[in-house]
Amino acid sequence: MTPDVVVVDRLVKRYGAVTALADVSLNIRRGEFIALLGPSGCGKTTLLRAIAGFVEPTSGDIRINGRTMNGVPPNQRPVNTVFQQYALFPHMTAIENVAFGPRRQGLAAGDVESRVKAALAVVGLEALAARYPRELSGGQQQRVALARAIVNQPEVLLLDEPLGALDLKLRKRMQLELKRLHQQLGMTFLFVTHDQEEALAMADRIAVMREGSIVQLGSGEEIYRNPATRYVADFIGEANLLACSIGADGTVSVAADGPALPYESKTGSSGEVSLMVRPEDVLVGGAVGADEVALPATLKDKVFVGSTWRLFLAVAGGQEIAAEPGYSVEAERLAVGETITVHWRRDAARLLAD
Amino acid sequence: MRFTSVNAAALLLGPIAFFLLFFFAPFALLIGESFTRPDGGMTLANYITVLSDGYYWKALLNTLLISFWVTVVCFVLGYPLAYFTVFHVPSVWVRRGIYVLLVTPLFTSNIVRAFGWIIILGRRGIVNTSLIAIGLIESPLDLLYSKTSIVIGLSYILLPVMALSVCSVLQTVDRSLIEAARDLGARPSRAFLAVTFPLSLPGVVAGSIIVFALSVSAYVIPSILSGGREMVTPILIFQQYTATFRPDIGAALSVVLLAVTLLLIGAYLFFLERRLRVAV
Repeated sequence: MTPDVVVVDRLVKRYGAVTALADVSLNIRRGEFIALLGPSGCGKTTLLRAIAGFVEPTSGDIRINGRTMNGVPPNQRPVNTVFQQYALFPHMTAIENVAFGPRRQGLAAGDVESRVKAALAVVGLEALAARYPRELSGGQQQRVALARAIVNQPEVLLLDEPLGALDLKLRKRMQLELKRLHQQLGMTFLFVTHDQEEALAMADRIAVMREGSIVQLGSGEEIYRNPATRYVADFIGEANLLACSIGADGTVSVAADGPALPYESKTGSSGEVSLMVRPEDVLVGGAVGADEVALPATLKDKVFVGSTWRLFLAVAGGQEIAAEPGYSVEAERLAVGETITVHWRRDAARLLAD
Repeated sequence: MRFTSVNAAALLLGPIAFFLLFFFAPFALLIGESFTRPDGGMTLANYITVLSDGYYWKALLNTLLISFWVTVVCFVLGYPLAYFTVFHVPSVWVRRGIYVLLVTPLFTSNIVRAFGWIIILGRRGIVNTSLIAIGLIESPLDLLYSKTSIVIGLSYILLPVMALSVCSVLQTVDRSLIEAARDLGARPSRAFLAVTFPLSLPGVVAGSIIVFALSVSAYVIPSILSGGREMVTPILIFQQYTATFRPDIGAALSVVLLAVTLLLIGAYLFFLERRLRVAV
């Protein structure tokens, strides 16, 4: 068995003049829960469908367990998909839906029955097995869709934004259930979503996509702490992005003639970069540590959101910084218009291009 | 205009009045007619005549047999046509063109189209002269003036009905269902049989019923293409009004034809729904 269950090798997909996938390469490790994260049109669904066999690549290869999938139709691939709208067969009961896959494999009736029962038990739907999809709630339909896919014991389970149609509370519950299911089955899960919170909550690794390419690949924590680009920093969690300019001598200063900051630009070229710092890392008032960067700022607005104060401050040059310092006496006392020092640990912020 | 029961009733008044005046009233008169004697007065004699005479039965069975075959032929030819149009024609303009092509012949008179078949199937028609020219046959075949030619003629007229009915239902089939079937291991043919076809049945049933009903009541095509050799009930009914001047028998024949057709369609729907568990 190859260590990586799926290898996407320089995959390109073009629809006429539109490039949906631009030279995408990805190794999916056996047993991992990996998420493809990005906004609409970034190519995440196209990539999932290419692995499933519904999209034929313009060039490049997909290998599952070392075997190339070029020219292999979806029904011969060892993967199964949970569709966005579930795609349950309306003219079959839940149990018949789930039995569809095993029956296609030519198993004996007894084997089919036991496998189907087991799959329905895993998703907790044995009691409703005889019902038709229209007689089931959205959440129940989703479980049937899940059971229908996992009953075939695929190498990779492909999930195409399966939680989008559920209400918030149910969605959060299903996120945990899917995670539990993943651990219980030990199956490789590939999950497509535009919801970064969902990706962070569920996935071992996240591939952040933009306009047909994978911009960053890593664990949720890695991506959150070390975003590679402005786009990633902005997409995951909240981020302050201070536009900075690089002087001729390489010094970085806040844009529009602001104060200099003790950071170095890696590329060394002049141009536009952003300094990223998360609101929860921005401290307001209080003592400034030796390893910290400090700037004077004026409070523009403050909002109480329960667990913290959200402060909006303007620094020299007019740019705004959001700070969520938790509950602090300073924050409480601060009035709009007052000037105060904002500061953060030097390595909590990073310089990002694009 | 607000949706109130008063407004709804007012809007329905027109169509209901139309139906009452031009459909139910004449039909009620017809039923009344079927129970009268030539000299006035009520009687069941007409029904006794119609239901006991072997000649009338033969015509009725002929009608039903021809209509059955027309329905089958329309399905066999119409379904693939509809499937191809909906699933294998990528350009929406070409698809629309096909719909136009299906509907346009309906603007031509049935009589003209029937005579067209005489030209094609006649002893000196296109089919015979081509077959003789190729050398497959020595003397021309007798293709016209038989049950077969009536079935061909009626199928030709009614094919668009079946095709369009199936087209409209096939368009509503959710493509992701077919993808799901493929994803779960089904070959394209299996996906069609397990998913697409069952879901298209309501369209097949609707098309079948319309085609069957129109065949059973067809007069022009059977008259022209039967050459007097084949008898169907509509021709028989027409004769009662124009040749034998027995409108009471004609009325009885009409009612019997309608009753039998309704019975058959009812049985068809009943057994279909039970067997397939698909709401049709």
